[in-house]
Amino acid sequence: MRDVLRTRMGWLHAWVGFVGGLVLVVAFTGGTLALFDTEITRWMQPELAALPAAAMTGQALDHAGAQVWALREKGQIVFLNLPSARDPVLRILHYDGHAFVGPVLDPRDGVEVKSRATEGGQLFFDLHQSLYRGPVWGNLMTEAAGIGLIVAVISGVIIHWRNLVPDLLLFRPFAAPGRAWLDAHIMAGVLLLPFVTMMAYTGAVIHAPRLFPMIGAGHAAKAASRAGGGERRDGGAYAPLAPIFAQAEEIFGRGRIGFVMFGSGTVSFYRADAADFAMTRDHADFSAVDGKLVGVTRVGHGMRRLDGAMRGLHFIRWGTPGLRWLYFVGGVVGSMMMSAGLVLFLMKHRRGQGGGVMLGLAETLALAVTLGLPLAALGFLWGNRLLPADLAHRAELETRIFFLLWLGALVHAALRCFRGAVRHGWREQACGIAVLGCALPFLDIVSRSGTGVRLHWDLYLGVDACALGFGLLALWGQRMMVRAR
Amino acid sequence: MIVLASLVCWGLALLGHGLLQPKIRRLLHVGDGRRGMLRVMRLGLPLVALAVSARLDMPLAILVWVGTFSVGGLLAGGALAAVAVYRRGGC
Repeated sequence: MRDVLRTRMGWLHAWVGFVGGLVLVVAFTGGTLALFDTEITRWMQPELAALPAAAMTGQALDHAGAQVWALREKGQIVFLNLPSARDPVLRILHYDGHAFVGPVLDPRDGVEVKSRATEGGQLFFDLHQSLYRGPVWGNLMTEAAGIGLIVAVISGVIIHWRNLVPDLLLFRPFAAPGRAWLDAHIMAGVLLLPFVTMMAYTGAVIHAPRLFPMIGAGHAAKAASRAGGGERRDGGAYAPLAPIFAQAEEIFGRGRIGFVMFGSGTVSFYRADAADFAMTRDHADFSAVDGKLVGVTRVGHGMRRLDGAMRGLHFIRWGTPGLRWLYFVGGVVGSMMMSAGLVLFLMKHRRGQGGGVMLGLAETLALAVTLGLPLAALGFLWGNRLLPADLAHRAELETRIFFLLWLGALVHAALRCFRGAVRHGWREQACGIAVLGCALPFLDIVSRSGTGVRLHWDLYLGVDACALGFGLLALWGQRMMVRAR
Repeated sequence: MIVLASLVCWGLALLGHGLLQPKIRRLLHVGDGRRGMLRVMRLGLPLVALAVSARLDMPLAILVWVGTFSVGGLLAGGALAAVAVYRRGGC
């Protein structure tokens, strides 16, 4: 009975794991990078490195508020993002369909700081959330894959239940390739079981109303909440924002306001996502004309608070840098664990089938998501620094570079896999990651000269060190593939 | 600092757990000695990690404790694998 259950769970784990895994590797890798989306965006706007760290002044806030009102009078839907520890500048943002983008303002006087247009780290957030395919189909795919991950986790635990604890740390890199990959997959999977389960569960719950519109307002509610912006208001001056900001800080606490939304006749100060574990978007509404408090919306206990707690656990915007790095390591190893699962599936079926179109397609897709995606991500960073800063439509061009590189990796993988040179394909893409990753720190130093290399050095060091680390890992991986021939 | 301390505790605890497993002991060519100390490490150090993590606010404390279990386990597993490779005379 137990063996029958294990066999059936093995089949379920393999197929759900492989088909879902192709999407999950993309979602997990994107989500891992999106943990530092703000920092990546700042890395991709090196002009901001010249700005000294300074607190936001009332004059800057008033100036920014006037600019937002002027844009709204022109019919644009924009909001104001306030400085934070992670991003110490003011930003006037609008949603371009994939990311929140817009001009950067100096927190000292509210004057625009010339910086290159980029989607920055939010590209990875959108990739994680909806595979860059929009809120309907993209979201549905990632949510279905998230539920698939829960199925794969449960079936995986049932398969390995007997040896789960004794073999927790058993990794034999010198064993036969299949055994070594299986050891790595199981060890990473079991050690990351709490993290992967939590991320899969919270991710699925957060967007459950999209998957099951009958239990929530779904897309209609989101669309309705976004509507109504950009309306003209006849005549009259707007109240300065600085005194209203002071009132909002009295309500939510000093340094706990994240962004300001502008409605028709009202200004809403929202509590920062980093201010509390539960991401509830509490806000205080003020009259835009005289700055008087209109109302305060706080989420108390109950389902909405629980929803906020799920979001807080998943997005970790309240977390300390240490916790964010723990999530990052979990995300990187989780992506590798899923990639190892894809490789194991291919090894098993290569033995059984020996070749064929379906196997070639599976190998192509596995290679394109496992190594093609990191290659394209590094190429995205390279494109950011190599494209002229004042180029028209440069944000779209950067994004196109990312997707063209990924498409190139897919075509390369197909050429190699369908011609029976799978190992060459893996080695060549690993070499590409090694070159782009190891050389990125040099590109950063060269292309950032004259913009205050010493300022905010920790941010640049973090991105450069990660790129170098992934480059060295890829170099080691391709050397191991050469030695294993 | 608290994250690091919790990570070290979990790493050592899981190292102790690994060294108690017959398969890993055979791979590393280690004898049956010091089992008592390893059991104490395996049982005691996670509690020390919990006590250290509990100095943080909730739920940060729980997330750090669980997160350092994962990363500490990866480090311990990596260390055991590296020793096993070394004992076999390189890979």
